[in-house]
Amino acid sequence: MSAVSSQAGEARLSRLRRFLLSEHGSRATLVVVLALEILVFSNIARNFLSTTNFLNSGRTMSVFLVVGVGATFGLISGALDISMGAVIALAGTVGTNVVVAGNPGWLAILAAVGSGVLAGLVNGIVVVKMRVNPIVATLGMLGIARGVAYVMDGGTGVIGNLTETGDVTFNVMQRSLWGISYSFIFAALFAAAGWVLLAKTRFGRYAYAVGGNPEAGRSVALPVDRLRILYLTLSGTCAGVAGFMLASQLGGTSANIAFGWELTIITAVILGGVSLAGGTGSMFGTILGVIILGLLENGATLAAWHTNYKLMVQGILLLFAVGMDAARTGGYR
Amino acid sequence: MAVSHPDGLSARPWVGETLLPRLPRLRKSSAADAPADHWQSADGSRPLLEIRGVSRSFGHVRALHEVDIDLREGEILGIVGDNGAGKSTLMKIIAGTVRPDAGHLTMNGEPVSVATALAARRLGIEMIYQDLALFDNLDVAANIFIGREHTRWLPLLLGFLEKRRMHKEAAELLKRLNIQIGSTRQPVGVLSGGQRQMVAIARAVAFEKNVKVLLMDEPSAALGATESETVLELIREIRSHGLSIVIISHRIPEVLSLADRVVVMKRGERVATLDAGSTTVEECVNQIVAGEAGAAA
Ligand SMILES: Nc1ncnc2c1ncn2[C@@H]1O[C@H](COP(=O)(O)OP(=O)(O)OP(=O)(O)O)[C@@H](O)[C@H]1O
Ligand SMILES: [Mg+2]
Repeated sequence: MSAVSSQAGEARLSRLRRFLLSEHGSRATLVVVLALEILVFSNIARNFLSTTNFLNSGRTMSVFLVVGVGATFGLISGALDISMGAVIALAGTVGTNVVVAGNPGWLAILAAVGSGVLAGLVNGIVVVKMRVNPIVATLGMLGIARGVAYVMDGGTGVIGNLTETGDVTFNVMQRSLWGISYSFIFAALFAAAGWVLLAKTRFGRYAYAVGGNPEAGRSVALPVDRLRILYLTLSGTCAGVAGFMLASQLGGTSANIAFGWELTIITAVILGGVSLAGGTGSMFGTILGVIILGLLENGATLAAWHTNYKLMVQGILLLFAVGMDAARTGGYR
Repeated sequence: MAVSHPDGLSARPWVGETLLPRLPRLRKSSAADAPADHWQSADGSRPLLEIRGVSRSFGHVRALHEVDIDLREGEILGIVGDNGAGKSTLMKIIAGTVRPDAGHLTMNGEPVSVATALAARRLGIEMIYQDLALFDNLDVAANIFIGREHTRWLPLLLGFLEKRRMHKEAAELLKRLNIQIGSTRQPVGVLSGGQRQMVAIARAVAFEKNVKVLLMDEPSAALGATESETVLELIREIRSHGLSIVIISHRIPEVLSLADRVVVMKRGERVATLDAGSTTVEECVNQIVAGEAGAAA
């Protein structure tokens, strides 16, 4: 009798497991994680549940979100881009330098985004033409981009704060509309566009195809290599846009910003359900993942946690995310 | 029956054709230096496809050595041979996914280049791969339409997918081909081996109007008896629309019942070409086991 009931229990458990691993189940899990997070921080950090704080954290989160859009395309197409943090710093520093040199703001914006496009393009070409694993190729770019940023910055890591004298156009992200920051509005539109591109167009579908089975892609005459270059270029472009946003928000950045952000972004994207192996994931998941990581960043600051604790929680979240991914895909063998 | 309309789905350009400017190719078409050919069939017309002197090695493995094969208009050509005989490699060369070290191809007497899969498709050469080349993470309709999606509003890669239309047409196609698959919205990864095989076949013949040559690499390998029979029926039906078909199979009786001629390959060489009507299973097996390249008919 007890054997029968334990069997029934096991069946129920495996059904639960299957639900949790299904698309809806993973989303539900994320919502639960998010709710828990809000519950915890609203108890330990006094100003966490305030409008000001949400608008405030929205500013940082919007930068994460823009990079997250790029990382989602990259990872779904099978390329883990770890140069994103460094490219953000590069783009921010380039933009800042162009403004400081007395050029118009729009030119600085163009230069910042352009440096991201270039970094992504180089990543893509190296991966495709030299047949280098994307992690290794973008690791190279991580070093190059950060290095160039430091050189441009004069090696001091500090460029004058432009907030007071800054260019109005370049500092556009400091403005807000009815109390909502331009950053937030821009990022929301950016993510919406990313969602449309991923879910509704050929470009999005081929990201899944190339990430799912590149060999088959070649067999059915998809231009796999060129597509891969495009997805990595998009990833770099998003990092470039994020770099501009950050520089704009801060009124100029130094070369050491966004240090280690790739870990945060990759955690957010994988938590959102994008598989490390490529081929699966959604923009909606990424948005949820970014909110979870963004609130962690924010809550940890408000609760005056030491960075180490924040990193630890982030690491745990990453392991959790990767564990879910492994359970879904069969995992590391 | 009302559902049978042999045209298949409306013709769509391949995405790669219009997608991006093509990069210059460094490799010249080897067809340009094709020697004059004196092959003539009994009725004086040239075969649809002539494969001449095709060789290919992988490292020190000689997968193909100076293979000559003709494919006639509207015929079914069987290819048999042991594992590793080079059958798949030969088909991949024709389909543009493997480059030959030497040799050339002519179509309707004209030298043609199949340097890329895209080039082969433009010539109307379609292939069903031994490994099926399916995307397990995409649904059935997406697999059937991959590279040839119906889109609207914006051009090229930015085109919006007409998903509903593609699901509808995919369902119609499956019905016409008598393929039993519950929903075109299922990811291909959850289908049975036989169903996957059927999806691969459906994809290859979906745009039948544009197809002149259909290469099938063991299309019935994963199938049960009933499904095999369905595929054989399907192949005969496709042939009646005027396509030329090459079929690789290890099931010799099946090949003999289906094909007009049978080519036997061994260690990368063609050892015999047999008339399916007059040969026997024993003779085929004998050639596979003991055939010699020099003695090729
Ligand atoms: N990409 C490759 N790299 C290295 N060797 C290869 C490759 N493709 C084929 N070969 C080798 O070429 C030879 C012919 O292979 P091929 O797949 O054409 O055989 P086949 O006749 O299709 O066999 P089977 O009946 O088992 O499918 C084999 O020895 C194989 O190992
Ligand atoms: Mg084979």
